[in-house]
Amino acid sequence: MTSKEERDQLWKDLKASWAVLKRDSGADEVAKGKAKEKINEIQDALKLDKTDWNQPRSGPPGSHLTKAGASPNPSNNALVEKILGTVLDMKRELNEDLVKINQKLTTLEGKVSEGMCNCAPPADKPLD
Amino acid sequence: MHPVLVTSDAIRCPGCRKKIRLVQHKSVGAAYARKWRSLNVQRLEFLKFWLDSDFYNSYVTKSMLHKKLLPRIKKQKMNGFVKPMPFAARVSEMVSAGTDYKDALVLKDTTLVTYSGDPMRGPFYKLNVKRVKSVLKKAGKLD
Repeated sequence: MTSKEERDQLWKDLKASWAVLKRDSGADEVAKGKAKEKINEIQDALKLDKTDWNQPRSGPPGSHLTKAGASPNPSNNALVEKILGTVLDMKRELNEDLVKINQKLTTLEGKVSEGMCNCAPPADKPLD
Repeated sequence: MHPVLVTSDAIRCPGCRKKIRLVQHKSVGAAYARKWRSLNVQRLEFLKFWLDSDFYNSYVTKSMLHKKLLPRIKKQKMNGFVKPMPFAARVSEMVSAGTDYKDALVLKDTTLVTYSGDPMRGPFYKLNVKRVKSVLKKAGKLD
């Protein structure tokens, strides 16, 4: 087995290599290709399952970003897929914000109707 | 915000003096770990040790798992995992880590039943192998 220092370094290198593949990393396709090779090498060294880069992504485009609303018909255009994924992700975030705002509104309405008291509604059964 | 001293199973509202019954927090795992987006190297090593052990597909208690993994934990000088209490805390973190986004890394079951039908008191923990393998190969990315 490799030493602690070697293993720690391998994990850190693996993290760094995955970071290169991120959309906002600014790395070009050559750098991304090298990062993929390095990821497989490190996965091998750490005895992990290796990522198969040739395997098509399972699920519709954008489904890795959001579970809501992705099209069941994958597009061949990578750029369109990227944009679609980003838009769907934004839609999900907006929906989440809307739910939070609605919850807050409901809570505030409840407080107003209870004469601005901060406590919960009275219990169904007497507590004493 | 009004601070209220808790001395029994109920408090009184400082505004209207209504009595409010208190119910114990029932969430599973370490709540603060739910929103984690990534695991650090020590936690990845811990999951890898567990995955490589005989317990990778079994329900185990924290103490059984601690006993099993302790030699490797000591060898790798994983300080946050050596003593039983911090070890238990690390397992609880794995139960909830990243669950705001995807499935749990570790499944928790409070009671199991033996082949003869007798209940066994836990709690028991089991690796979610598919999820753990996926997170490990992505160097701890949870979301």
